[in-house]
Amino acid sequence: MKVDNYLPREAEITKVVQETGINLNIKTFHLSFTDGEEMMDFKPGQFLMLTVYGVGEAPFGLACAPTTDCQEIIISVKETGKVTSALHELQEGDSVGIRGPYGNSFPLEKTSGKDVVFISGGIGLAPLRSLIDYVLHPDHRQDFGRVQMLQAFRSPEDMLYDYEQQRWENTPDTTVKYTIDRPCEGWEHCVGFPHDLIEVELDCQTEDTVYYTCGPPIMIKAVTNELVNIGIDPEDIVTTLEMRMSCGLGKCGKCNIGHRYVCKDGPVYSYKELLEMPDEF
Amino acid sequence: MIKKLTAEELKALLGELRQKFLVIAPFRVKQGRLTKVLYQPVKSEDQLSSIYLKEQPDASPKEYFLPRDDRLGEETAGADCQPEEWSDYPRLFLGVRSCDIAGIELFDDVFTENDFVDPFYQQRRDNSLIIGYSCQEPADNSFCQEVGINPLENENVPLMLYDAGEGFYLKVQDQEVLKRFEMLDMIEELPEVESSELEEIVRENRKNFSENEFSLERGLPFPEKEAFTSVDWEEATASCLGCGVCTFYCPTCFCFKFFWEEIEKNRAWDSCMFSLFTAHASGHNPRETQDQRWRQRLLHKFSYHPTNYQGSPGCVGCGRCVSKCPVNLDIRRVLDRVEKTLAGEGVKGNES
Repeated sequence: MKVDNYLPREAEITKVVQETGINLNIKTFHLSFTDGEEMMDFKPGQFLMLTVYGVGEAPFGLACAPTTDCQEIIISVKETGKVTSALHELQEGDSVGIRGPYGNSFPLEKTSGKDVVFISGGIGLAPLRSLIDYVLHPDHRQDFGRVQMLQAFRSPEDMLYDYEQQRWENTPDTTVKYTIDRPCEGWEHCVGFPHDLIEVELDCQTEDTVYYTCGPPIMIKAVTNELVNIGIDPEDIVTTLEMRMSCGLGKCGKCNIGHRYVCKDGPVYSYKELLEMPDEF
Repeated sequence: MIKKLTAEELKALLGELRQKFLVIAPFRVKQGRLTKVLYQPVKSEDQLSSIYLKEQPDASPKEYFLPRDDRLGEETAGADCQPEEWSDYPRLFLGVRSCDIAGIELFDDVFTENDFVDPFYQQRRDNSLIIGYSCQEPADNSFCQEVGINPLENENVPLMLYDAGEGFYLKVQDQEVLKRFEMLDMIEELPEVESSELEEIVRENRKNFSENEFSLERGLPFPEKEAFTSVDWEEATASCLGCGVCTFYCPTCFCFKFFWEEIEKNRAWDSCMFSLFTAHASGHNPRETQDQRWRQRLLHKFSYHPTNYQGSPGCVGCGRCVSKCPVNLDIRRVLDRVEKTLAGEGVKGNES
């Protein structure tokens, strides 16, 4: 029996990366526990509850992979509400609280030995990064087939993880494509919404391939529709949901969709599961 | 084992129990111009004669297990921090009716599950003894029998109290608990009676529980997706103001939120009937309209909870949400519409 007192462990912000310009203020925070105890055990796709002391708490998807060299927790945060705004004010050396990890995870077993396609929109790349970094890590790369990524951003200014992209592009049997909403001077990659580019820019196989997508709800819907249109089995399309949450343990009731609690049974669902659920996300 | 006792003997027993327990019992309490029956701790010996068992209490004792605001601890205290000792005495709840007992059992299911234990709830629960109470007549708007609850008898509490007009019967259903709380000596002297004597009283009282006008035809859970999409929820719940009083009085509603006072982390009741309950910081809200929230409340109780807990209903039929609703939005009427829709019967316009 797991007892959870809803109180966080203290962690220190070890690094803050300004990811985007002021129009979409996203920062990436690197965190490590201050209690000297071990790093938490987590799986790609899980999330944590982060407390900004004196302000409140909110859920964030882990943007790092549980690889052997994983020393820190990484999350990317868009300044949106009370907690995220307060978090954006914090700097290296400041303390925050962390509970978790919570939730299920990306289906690694199902993905093992198969090709993987990642389609992201904006900060939707953050939760996918926990799996991208896992799959592309030298310890695991041979366990997966070809990797294709299609990353969508509003503009070049809004790109995330530009410091990681080169590494990803250089990983064997991996292609990374980028797209922005509108043409822009000096941009040499794709232009347009990701669902319009799937057929042209990605080599979409219907067999032995798992498709991961995350982004704004409307983008997830458009992408999954397009994937189904070109014949992908809804079971092979995986996404992760975002809901308001207080507890992270399936009790407080906020993330309840049908009989499922996104914090406990999710946040990762196949499109097949989403089709069975009441449309309430 | 069934003991017979006079009102005086019951009072004497409670007096003795007060030495070991914080006794919490229903009292008639004046609130402005209203008189309400509320669970309150017995603070002095003279209060014992004012305990009022005749009516269903205004609210269930849920706030003693999941307080309306609950101090969890300093947010920097860490994940290993134990809940504070909140009481020196174990607590004894007197006169809890079957509906409210079922409410506590539902909380047990939710807060002390295999994969998760809420230490705050568990501590309060472990430290509580419940003496049940057999209803003599149905409470206003109640429909407990329709959700499988027997208002007259309840085997899930160690002790059950029956009002026999002239005095009381106390049925001991779990001797082990009595031993644990060292209560056996206290009731030893009381005269024991045959079970037939009590059965006769229960039989008489049962006559007051005639067939309810409302009945639940369909087994639980309601089919999730079908109930979600096929029912005209807007028409059925249009008058809802979103005040949330139904959820606060509900013995089974347990949704909560956290709030902070400086570095104190606290928990407060929350309600799916509130528009902000599911609102994201981005402005997106999965349940934007009040009928969607009503659908959530009803289906959580009659579909989602039973799906997750072996068919166990998420409603105990106490009727409080009906009695308390400021616009008389009656869950029985909405349930009736859901059942008719699911049965494929045409639903006529507003039946009220």
